[in-house]
Amino acid sequence: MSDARTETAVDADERTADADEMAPDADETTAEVDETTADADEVVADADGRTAVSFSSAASAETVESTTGAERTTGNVANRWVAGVVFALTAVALGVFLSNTGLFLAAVVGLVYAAYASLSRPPSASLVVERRVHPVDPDPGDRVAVTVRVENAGDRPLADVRVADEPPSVLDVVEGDPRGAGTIEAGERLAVEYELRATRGNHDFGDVTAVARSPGGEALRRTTFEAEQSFVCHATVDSLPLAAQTGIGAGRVETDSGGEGVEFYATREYSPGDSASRVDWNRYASTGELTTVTYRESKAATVVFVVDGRVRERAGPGEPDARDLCGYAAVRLADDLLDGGTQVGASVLSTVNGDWFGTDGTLPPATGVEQSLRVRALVRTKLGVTVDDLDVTVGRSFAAETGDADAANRAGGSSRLSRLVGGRGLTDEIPAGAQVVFVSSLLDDDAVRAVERLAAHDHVTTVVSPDLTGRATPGAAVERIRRAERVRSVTGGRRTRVVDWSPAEPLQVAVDRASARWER
Amino acid sequence: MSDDRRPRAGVVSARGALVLALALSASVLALSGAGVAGIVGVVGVLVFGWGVGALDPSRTRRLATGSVSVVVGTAVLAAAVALVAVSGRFGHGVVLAGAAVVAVAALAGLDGETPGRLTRAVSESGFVALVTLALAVAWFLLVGTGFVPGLVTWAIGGATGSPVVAAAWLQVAVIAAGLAAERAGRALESLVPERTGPESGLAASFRLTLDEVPRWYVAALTVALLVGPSAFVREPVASALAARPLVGRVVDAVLLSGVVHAALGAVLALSLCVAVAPTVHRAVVFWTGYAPGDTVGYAAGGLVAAALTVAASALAGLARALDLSAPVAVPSPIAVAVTALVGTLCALVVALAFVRGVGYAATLARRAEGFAVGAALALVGTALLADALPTLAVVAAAAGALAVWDLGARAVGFERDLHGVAPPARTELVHATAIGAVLVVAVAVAFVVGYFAVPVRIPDDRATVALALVMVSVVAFAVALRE
Repeated sequence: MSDARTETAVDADERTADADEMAPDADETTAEVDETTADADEVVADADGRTAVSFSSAASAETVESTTGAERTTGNVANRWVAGVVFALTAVALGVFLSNTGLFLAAVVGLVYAAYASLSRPPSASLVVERRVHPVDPDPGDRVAVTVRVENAGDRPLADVRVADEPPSVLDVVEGDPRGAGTIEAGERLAVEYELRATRGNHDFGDVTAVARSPGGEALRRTTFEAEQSFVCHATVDSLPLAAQTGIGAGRVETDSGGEGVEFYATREYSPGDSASRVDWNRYASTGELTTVTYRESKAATVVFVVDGRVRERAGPGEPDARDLCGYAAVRLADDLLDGGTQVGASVLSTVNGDWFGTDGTLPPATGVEQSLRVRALVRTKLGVTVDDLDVTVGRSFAAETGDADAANRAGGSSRLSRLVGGRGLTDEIPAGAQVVFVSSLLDDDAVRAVERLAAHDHVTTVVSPDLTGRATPGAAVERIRRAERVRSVTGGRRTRVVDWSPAEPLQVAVDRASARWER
Repeated sequence: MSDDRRPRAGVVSARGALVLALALSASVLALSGAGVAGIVGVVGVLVFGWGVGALDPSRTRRLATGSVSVVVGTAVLAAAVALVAVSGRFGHGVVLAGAAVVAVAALAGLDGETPGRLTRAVSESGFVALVTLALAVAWFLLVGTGFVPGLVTWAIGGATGSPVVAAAWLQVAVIAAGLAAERAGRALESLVPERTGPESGLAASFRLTLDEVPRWYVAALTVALLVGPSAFVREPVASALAARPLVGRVVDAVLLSGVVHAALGAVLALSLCVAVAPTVHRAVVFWTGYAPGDTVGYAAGGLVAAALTVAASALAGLARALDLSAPVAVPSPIAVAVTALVGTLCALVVALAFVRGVGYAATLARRAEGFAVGAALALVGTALLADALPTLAVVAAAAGALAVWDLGARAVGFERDLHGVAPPARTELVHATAIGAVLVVAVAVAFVVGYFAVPVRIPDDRATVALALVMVSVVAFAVALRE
C-alpha cells in the first residue's frame, strides 16, 4: 500500500449459513462486523452519507481484505444421513419380503453409511479472503484482472473448498472463471483468477462466498464475505478545440490577431513606443526600414455548457438514456477545458415553451477542480446522473450553489438556491461573449431552435449530440433520419459546430473526427 | 446458482459413478447367468450415453457423431435387452436400465437441454428412417413385384408391333424426350443460375417446347397411331418392305427390335429425373431449415441406419438371387428393410421415452438428478436377481449402488457450485477415497454380521415382524443418538 493519508475501517461483514449450495440462505444468518484497518488513499462520502473506500497501491491495484470472525455453523449432514437410513430400511424390507439374506445384510451398509454421515463435522472456520483488482482505473475495453485468494488460516488442511466471486453483473468475464475449488493445506492459499472486459460506468463487485466441506462431503461450512468493491471506468477527453470567440486576458485560444504571445504572427510598421526588443533589426540592416514583430495572441475563452435535460429516451432496454449520456459528455468535456484553465459554466435546459427556453440550475463560469465537482453535482441533482470518478469531498459551497439540497443540508450550509435555480431564460444565464457547448441528443426540433437562439445571441455554439437512434424498427429508422436532418441543419449554421457522437465509440474519437472539419 | 448445466465428463466423481455403475451391472449380470448380455449391454450403455452427451449443436461433426452413437447405442442396447429377455429375468433389464441412466447423467446430464436435443435427434433420424422405409416399400411394390419391368416390356412390345406403329411411337418418344430435355435444362438453370459454360449444340437442338411442335404433325402422328395397327395399313406396308429386303432388314433393326425405343425411354427417364431435381431440392431445403448443418447432424444416425438397411437388403437380395446356402432362411430384401427400419424407429422412440421419463423422475430426486434414479434401479435390479446371486455379491452390489448415488450427488454438487469449472482431481479423490473406504468397511461389517448370523431363518410371520421391529428400533436409536 502506498502512504495513506486517511485510515478507515473496512466493513467486513461475514455471514455463515446452513446450506448445501453456495447460494445464500436466509434461514441461519449471523452477522458480525470485523473491523480491519486498511490503508486508504481517499474517502468519498456519497449522497447517503455512507462511506465508500477507494484503495490504491504502488502497483495501481485495489485490494480489499475481509477476515472471518466468530460464526455459527450447522453442517449439511442430514440429507446423507437420511439417505443411509432409507437405504437400510429399504434393504431390510426387500430382504424380508424376498426372503434373501444378502439384501437383509445390505442394511448394515446403509447403517454404516448413515453413521459415517452423522459423525461428520463441518471444518473449522479458518478462511481469509482477499480480492485484488488491477488496474483500478481502466479505460473502456481494457481487461481488468481480478484475483481472489482464499487462505486457510487454520492449522488443519481443508479437503474441499469452493469459492465463488460476484463480478459486476454488466461486465463480461473474458478469461478465467469467478469460481474455483481446491484442497488447501494449512497456511496455503487457493487463488481464483479471472479477467473482465471493462465498459464505461461505475461497477460494483458483490460478495465472495466460500464453502468448505469435510473430506467425505457430508458437512460443510459456508461463509459469505461482504467484500463490496467498485471501480470506475471512463475514457477521458484530451482536447476539445475551442472556437475563436474569446474574452479578455490570456488563455488557451489562439486568435487571428497579433500581439503578445510566443508564436510568430506578422510584422508591421514600427510605431513609436514599440519595444526595442521587438524591432526586426535584421530587416533594418538590409533595407533600412524599421519594422516591429508581432506574435499570435492567445486569449482566454469562457465556455458555458448547456445540457439538455428534457429528454429521457434510451436506445434500448438497459442502455443509458439521453440524460445519462448528455451528463457524461458534459462532465468529460468540462474536465478537459478546466484542466486547460478555461472558465467553464454550466446550465441545464429543462423546459421549452414556445420561444421560452427555461433552465433549471446554473453554474456561473469559474475555473479549478472545485468547479469540476460543481458540474458533477449539477448533473447529479438536476439530471440524476452520477459521474463519480473524482476522489474529492463534495463541499457545502458548491452543493448549495448547484441546488444539491441533500449535500447542502448534510454540510449544514445555508441555502442560496433561490438565487440560481429555475425561473430564468437560457440566454439570460450565459455571459456575453461566452462560447456555448450545447449537449443534446437532438431528438426534437426544440433542441435545434435552442441552438439557433444561442447563435442568434452571438454565442459560438458547439453541439455535442449523443446518437440514441437505431435501425431495429421502422419507427427507429424514421427517427434516425429526422435526427440526421437536424444535425445537418445545425451544421449548416455559421456560428455552430457539431460533434455527432455514437455512444459506442469514445467521445474523444467523435471530437477528433468532428474537429477535423471545423474552421477556426 | 442455476442448475441448468450438465455435469462435465471431466469431473472425476461423475466418471467414477459411471465406472462403478457399469462394473456393477456387468458383474450382476455375469453372476446371474447373463454375461454376454451384460457385456453387450454395457457397451450399448456407454455408446448411447456418450452419444447423448455429444449432441452439441455448436460442433456439427460432434453432433453428427453423437446422433450416430445414439442410434448405434440404442440398437446395441435393444440387442442386449433381447438377449436378457431370453432368460426371462426382469431384473437384468432393470440393472441395464440403471446403468443407462447413470451413463446419461454422467456423460450428458438429464436436465437442461439434453432431452430437447435427444428429441431432435430422434425426430430427425426417425424422419430419415421413415422416408427410407417409404422408398423401400415403394421400390418393393413397383420393382420387387415385377410391375414396372412388366409394364416396360409390355410398352415396348406394343410400340414395336408393326413398322408404322413403331415409327409413330419412335417419333412420339423423340418428342417426349425433347420436351423432357427442355424441362431438364430449365431445372439445371434453376439449380445453377449463374452457369456460364457453353451449352452443347446437340443438347440445344434436342430441346423442344410444346409450342414448337406443329399441330398438323401431332394430328398426323395421332392418325398414324390409330390406323397403323389396322390390316388396311399393316399389310401393304409389310408387302412393300418384303419387296425390298434391304430396307426390310433396316426397318426390323431400327424400328421393330425396340433398341431405339428403349434408348429413348432411358433418355426420357433421365431427363425427367433431372426435371424433378428442383422439387427434391426444395423439399430438402424445407427439411433442413435455417440450420442445414444442425439438421443433417441430428439426422446422421437415421442416415447411417438407412444406409445399413439398404446394404443389408442388397445383401439379402444378392443372397437370394445367387441362391446361397445358409443355415437359416435368407429373408427377402423388403423384409430386412421393413424390419430394420421399423425396429430402429421403435427403439429410438422407446429410448427417448425412457430418457424423458427418467428426466422427469430425476426432478423428484432433486439433488442427485439421474444418479439417484440409476442407483435406485441398480438396487431394485439387484434385489430382483438376489436369489441368483451369492450373498456377498448382493451386499457388494447394494454398496455399489449407494456409492453410485453418493459420487453422482457429489458431481452434481460440483456442477451446481462451480458452473462448469472442473475442480482439481485431488479434491475429488479425497472424497472418493473416503466414501470408498466407508463402504468397504460397511461391506466387511455386513460380512462379519452375516458370518455370525447366517443362516438367518424366517420361519413364520412373527419372525418377520420381529425382524422389522428390530430394524426400526435400530433406526430409532440412531435418530435419538443424532438428535
